[in-house]
Amino acid sequence: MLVQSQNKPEQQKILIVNDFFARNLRYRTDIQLWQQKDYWATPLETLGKGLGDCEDYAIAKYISLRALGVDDNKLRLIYVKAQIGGPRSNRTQAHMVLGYFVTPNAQPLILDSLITKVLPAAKRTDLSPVFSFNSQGLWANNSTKSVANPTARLSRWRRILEQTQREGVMW
Amino acid sequence: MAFFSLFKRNRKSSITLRQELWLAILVVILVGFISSLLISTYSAKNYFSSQLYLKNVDNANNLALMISQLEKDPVSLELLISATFDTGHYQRIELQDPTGEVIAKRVFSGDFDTSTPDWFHHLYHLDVAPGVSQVNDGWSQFGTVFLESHSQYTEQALWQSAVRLFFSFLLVAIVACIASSYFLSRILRPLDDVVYQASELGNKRFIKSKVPHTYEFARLVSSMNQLSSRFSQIIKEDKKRLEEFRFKSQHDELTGLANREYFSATLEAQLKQSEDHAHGALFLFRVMNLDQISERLGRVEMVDFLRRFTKTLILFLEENEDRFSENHIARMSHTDFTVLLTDIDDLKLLSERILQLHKTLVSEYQGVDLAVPHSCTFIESKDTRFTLLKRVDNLLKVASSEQTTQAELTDNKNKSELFDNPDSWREAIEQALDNDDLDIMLYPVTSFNGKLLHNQLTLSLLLNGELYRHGYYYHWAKRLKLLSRLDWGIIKYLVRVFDEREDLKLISVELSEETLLDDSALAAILTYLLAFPDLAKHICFDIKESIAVAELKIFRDFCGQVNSMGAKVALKRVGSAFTKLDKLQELGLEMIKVDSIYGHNISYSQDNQTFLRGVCSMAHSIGIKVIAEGVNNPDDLTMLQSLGFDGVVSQPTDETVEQDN
Repeated sequence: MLVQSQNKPEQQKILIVNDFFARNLRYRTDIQLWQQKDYWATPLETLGKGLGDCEDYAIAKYISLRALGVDDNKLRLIYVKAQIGGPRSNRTQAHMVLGYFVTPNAQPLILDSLITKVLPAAKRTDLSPVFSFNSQGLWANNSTKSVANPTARLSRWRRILEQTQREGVMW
Repeated sequence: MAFFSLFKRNRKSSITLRQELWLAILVVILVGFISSLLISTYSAKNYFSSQLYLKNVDNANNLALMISQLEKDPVSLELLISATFDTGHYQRIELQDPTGEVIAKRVFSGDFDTSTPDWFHHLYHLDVAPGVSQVNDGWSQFGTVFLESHSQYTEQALWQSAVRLFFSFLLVAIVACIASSYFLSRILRPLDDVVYQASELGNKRFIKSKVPHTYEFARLVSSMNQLSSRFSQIIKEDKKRLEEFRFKSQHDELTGLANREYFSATLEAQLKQSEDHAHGALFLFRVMNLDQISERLGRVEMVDFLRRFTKTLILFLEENEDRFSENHIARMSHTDFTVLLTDIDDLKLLSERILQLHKTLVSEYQGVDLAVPHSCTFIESKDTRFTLLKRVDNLLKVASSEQTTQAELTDNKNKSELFDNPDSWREAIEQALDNDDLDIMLYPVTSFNGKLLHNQLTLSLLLNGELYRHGYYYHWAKRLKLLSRLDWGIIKYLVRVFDEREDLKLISVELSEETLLDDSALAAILTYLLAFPDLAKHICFDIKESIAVAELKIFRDFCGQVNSMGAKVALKRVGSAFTKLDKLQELGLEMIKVDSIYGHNISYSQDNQTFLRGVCSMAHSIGIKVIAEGVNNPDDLTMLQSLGFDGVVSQPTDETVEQDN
C-alpha cells in the first residue's frame, strides 16, 4: 500500500491510507485487546493484531502518512470529544483522530476510526477538538534522529515513535 | 616519612626507585582524580540537561493545552504567557502562528548570578532543546508554543556540585597519598637493606643481610647472600691453600721454624728498613755432634732433641720479650739456628741466659758429646746480610773451637747515635712534636702503568737542629711509647698543610699499634678527621698486618669506622699472617702492601712466586690492590707485575731531607 501510493498526490494518499486501515482493522478497546486501560500500540502491533482502538488507528495513519512523505506541519493528532449515538445523544467519549491541514490556516480533513470517510472538520459536528499535537520539536529539523535523551521516552507519544522506528518503519 | 624525602635528590642526581614509584602513584591518583571529577560533572551535566529538557517539553505541553482551551484574544494570551514567564524559571516563552509569525514572546535578559566562573560556563554550557507544543483553535491550527527554561540555575547547581566533588575527590586523593606513602615505606624498607648490602659488596665487604618477606626482594637478597657466602668460601679455601703452601715453603719441616731462605729475606728486609740505623742483634747457635744422637740413640731421639732445643729457644724468647721488640728464629741448616732480635740493648745478659739454658739441656744427654755453642753480635750501621752473617759465623768458629757449650759475642753497640740515653731522646722527640718541628716524606705508590695511587707518608723530625728521617728515631719512639703521639702529630700536620699542597691529595699514613690499641688516641684522630671530610676522603690508613691479625676485633671495628667516613684502609708488611685474617672480604680493604721479605729477590724464589700469585688472585677477587714494598730490582719488578701485582712503593721523591750520618 505504501509503495503503491508513493508518487500519488497527497490528497489521494490520505484517502488510500484511511481506506487501508478502515478495511484492515477492526475496532477493539485496549482493555479487550491489551488488558490495559489505555495502551498505545505501534502500527506493526496494530496490523499484527488486525485490531485497534481510536489512537491506534490515528497513530498508524499518522506514521503511514509520514512514511509517505507528508509534512509533519500538515498533520496533527487531535484529542476530541466525540458525541456518540446521533446528534442528540448526550453520550460523549474521549476519542483521537488524525487531522490533515492542506494549508496551516485551513480547516483540516479528519481521518477517523469511527467512520470510514474522510470529511472536512466542519462536517464533523459530532467531534469537538480539545488538544492537538504532532512530533514537532521531538525531532531535529528534517532529521529523524531524536534530540531527546532516553529519559524523554517516558512520554507515551515519544515511546511509540521510537518503538515504531526500532521496529523498522522509517519516514 | 617517605613523602617528604620524595624530592630529596640523591647524590648522582639520578631518579631513585622510591621517586619512580611515587611518580607512578601520583600519576595514578591524578588520573583517577581528574577522570572521576570529569565523569561526575559530565554525567551531572547530562542528567541536568535531560531533566531540563523534560521540563521544557512538559511545560510547553501544559501551556499549549491551556491556550487551546482559552479564548484567544491577544490580551489574554499576553497575560497568560507573561504570568507563566514571570512566575516560572524560563529563558524564553514564544508563541508563533502556523506561518512562523510571533504572536507573543518573552525572553529573559541579564545575569542574575555571577558566582559561576566564565570558563566553567563555557565548558559546561547546557544546550537544552526547547519544548515545542501545538495550540489549536477549534479545528484550525492556532500556533506553536516554544518554551525554554533558564539554564543558569542549573549551571550554578552544577558548579556548586563540581566544587563539592573537587574537594571531596581531593580529600580522597590526599588520603590515598598518605596510605600509599605508608605502604611504600613498608614495601621499600627491605630495599634499603638490599642497597646497603649491594654497596657494601661494591666496597669489597661481603656481608649477609636478613631475607625480607617480599618475594622479589627475598630472592634478590638470598642470591646476594649466596654470592657473599660463596666469596667467603672461596677466600677461605684460597687462604687455607696459601697458608699451607707458604708454611711449607718457608719453614723447616722438622722444627716448624723458618728456613734459611725465608730468614735471609727477613734479615735483608730488616737491614733495609732500619735504614743504616739498625738496633738489632743476631745470634747463631750450632748443635755440635747432633748426628751422634741418631747414631747412638736413634733417629727419633734426634728429632726429639731438636724439638726440645727449639722449644727452649722459643721459651727463652718469650721470657725475655720485654728486652727486644721483634724476634725471628730460623733453622739455617741441619745444625745451625739463628735468632734475630730487634731493638735490643743488653746483648750480654741475653747471651748468658740462653747459654745457661743450653748447658742444662745438653747435660741431659750424657752419652753423647753434645754441645751448643753460640755467637752473637749487634747489627752495625754499615752491615749487609753478607758481612753480618760472616761476622757472626767467624765468632761462632771461635766459640765452637773447644767443642763445649760456650758463647762468643762482640759488644759492638752503635755509638754513633744522636743521644745515648732514653731521656734525651724523649725530650728531643717531644720537643720536636710540641714545636711542630717536623716535615713529611713522600714515598709514591705507583701502579705499573705509571699512575700514582697515593703517596705514603712518613714523618721527619727536627732533632737537635737537624731533620731526621722516620727510620732514624723510630725505634726510640717505639721504645719510649711515643708512637701514638707521632701519629697524632702527622695527622695534625696534614690538616694544617692539606689545602696548600697539591701532592697530598692521595696519601697513606701508617697508624702504629700503640694508636690502634689506645681507644682515646684513635678516637681523637678519627674525630679530628670527621671535622675535615676533605682530608678524610683522601687518606688511606696503613696498618701493619701483624697488628691486624693480633687485634682482629679492634682492627675490624677500625675498618668499619674508617670506611664509614670515606677513608680507606690498607694493610702493610703483608706476608705470613695475611691468610690468618678472618673474614677478609668484610673488611673493605683498599690495598695490601706485601712485605719486602716476599718481594725481594722474587725472581729467584719459585715458592714465593707461587705464594704471591695466590695472594694477588685472592686479593683481586675481592677488589683489593696488591702493592710490593721495598723492591727496586728491575727483574723483580717485572716478575711482580707478571704475578699480578698492581704497583710498587718507590723511594721518596723528596730528596730535600738529607740523611745525617
